[in-house]
Amino acid sequence: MEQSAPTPTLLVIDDDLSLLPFLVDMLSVMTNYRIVTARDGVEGLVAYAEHRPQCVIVDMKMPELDGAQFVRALRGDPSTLNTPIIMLTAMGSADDHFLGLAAGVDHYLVKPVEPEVLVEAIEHALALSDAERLRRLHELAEGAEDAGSLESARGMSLGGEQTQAGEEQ
Amino acid sequence: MRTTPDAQLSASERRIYRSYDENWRLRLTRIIAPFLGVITFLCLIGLLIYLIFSAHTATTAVSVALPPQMAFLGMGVLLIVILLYGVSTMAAYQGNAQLATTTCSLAILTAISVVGSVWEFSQGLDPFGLAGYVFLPLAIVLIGLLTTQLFTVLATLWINGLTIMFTLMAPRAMAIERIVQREALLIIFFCVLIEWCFTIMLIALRRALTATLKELGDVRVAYEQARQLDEIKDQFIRSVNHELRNPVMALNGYVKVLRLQLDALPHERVVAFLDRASRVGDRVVALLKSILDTGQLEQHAAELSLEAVNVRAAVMEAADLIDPLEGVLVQRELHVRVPDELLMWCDRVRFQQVMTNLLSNAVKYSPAGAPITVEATAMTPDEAPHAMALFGRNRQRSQTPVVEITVRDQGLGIPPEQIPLLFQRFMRLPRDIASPVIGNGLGLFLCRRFVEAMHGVIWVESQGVAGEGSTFYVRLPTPPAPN
Repeated sequence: MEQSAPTPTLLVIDDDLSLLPFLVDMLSVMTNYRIVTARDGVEGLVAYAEHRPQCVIVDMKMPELDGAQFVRALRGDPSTLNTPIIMLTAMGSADDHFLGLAAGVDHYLVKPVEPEVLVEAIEHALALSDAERLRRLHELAEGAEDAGSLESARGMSLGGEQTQAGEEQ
Repeated sequence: MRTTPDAQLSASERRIYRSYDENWRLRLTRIIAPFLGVITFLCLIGLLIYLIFSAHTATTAVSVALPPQMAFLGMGVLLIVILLYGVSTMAAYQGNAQLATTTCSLAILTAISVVGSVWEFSQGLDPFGLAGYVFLPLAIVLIGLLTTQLFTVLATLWINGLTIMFTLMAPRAMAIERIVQREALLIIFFCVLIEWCFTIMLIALRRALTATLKELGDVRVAYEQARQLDEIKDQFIRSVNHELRNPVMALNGYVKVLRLQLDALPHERVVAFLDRASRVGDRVVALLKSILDTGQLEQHAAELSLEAVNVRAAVMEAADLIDPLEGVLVQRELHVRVPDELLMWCDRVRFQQVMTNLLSNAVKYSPAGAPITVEATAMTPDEAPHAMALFGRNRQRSQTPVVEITVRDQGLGIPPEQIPLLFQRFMRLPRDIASPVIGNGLGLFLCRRFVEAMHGVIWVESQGVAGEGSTFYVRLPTPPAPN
């Protein structure tokens, strides 16, 4: 797309009050991208529409719209389908990993992440060609057809656990 | 064996104890009732065949004929008994142990009484009839297995009565007339003795079984309690996981960035980074401290130094201590309505911790700009308008004057059904777990421990309506009068 632009814009979405300023500080020092921030998924979509960033770093657990929903929203729209997306989250379980990848992120990183690793992931995601990303997404979609029941089963079990946890409170 | 007075058991735990005994009886009834039902049905068929047969061969030599009206009475009763077995089976499958065992026992008693009477009185007491006595202890065994001790004893007395009645009053066959006449008392004594032997054995069996089931119940209850604690801990770990990963990543990240870029960065940025890193570090330390505080509290009660503390001064100091990360109090109106001279008897540091926690909760869980009110009054507990809402078991019943401090916010409020959980360890409300509000589920737990250690009470009132907020009450003793 417009990757020929001199300084790519980076959208960082995280609801944590100490991590978001750090990410801004760190990325502004380690890279020369323009950085835009948002505090939740809805704000993120607004910021995305406004700035059309070349890459998005998104948290999973956020109020309003969570990370997976945000990613699905971008991947579901042909005009935003090819955005490089990195998920940066505290959720490290296999189920969360699966959900993140199933939503279609390029990289799934579990906090804490070393600054170099995050920068490397951003560069890698930016370097990924549209064709390659599309191929990956197709692969995911085909895999999902086979594993469709698995995914829905996992989704249901996750939901079930959540409601159960809610009742116990 | 752990002794667990019933009063201390929760409803679910009591259900566990009861369910073992009930399940046992239900399983037994599910086999016994249908089986006896079928047997009774076969008896009914047999009686019918006998009737038809005896009608056709009215003149043949059946020793003592069964009068038709007796036979019809017997058949009617057998039908009722079959019906009772049916009810019992159905109740057993529906899980109603009381109904299942009672109907089954009644059916057994009815069958044995009526069939026995019909048999002994129409056929007469012959060797065959005497052999039929073995069914009497059998009935005791079945009833003893199914029902309570009292019912078993009553059934035994009833069956003793049947034994005596049959032996003394039934017509006797010629062949054994003289033997029975001579030995009637011996026969009765012998039969009753055997019947009571069975009863005693069954009662012993039931007692042993009940004790065993109770032990099993203890294990289950202990397991359930451990599982609940485990679940709460899991939830805590999930929540801490989230709370800890973010600041740790930020802290570690700042250090790494500084190490990599120290020479390239302008001095002000280095200072700014260090400032932010140290603030994030404070957050990690605070989190770890409250976790460790909780662990220590488990081991030994916090050491307190009780003294007379000026309420107003302590509240103001606490307000100054609120973590700026959690919201800037400057933007808030904090109304403090506390009489200047009001004193309470408590540990200054612990009280500040409690107050800071309550104030920062009020800040965290209410929208920016919403005012927070702190009030304090001296009172005797009887005047307290909210005596019914006191939290937990530590109700203050004494007449000594107390200081009641309230912290009122206009935030989200707390759903009333979740209030009892609020002061438990690691507990966070469902809505908070998914929210960005920082918390580890320890604050109010520590508050409760501290306040209770200072001989006070803490509770909360809220309708759970957003905007109406919640009011936290802390009640602490006043200084003892000098004499």
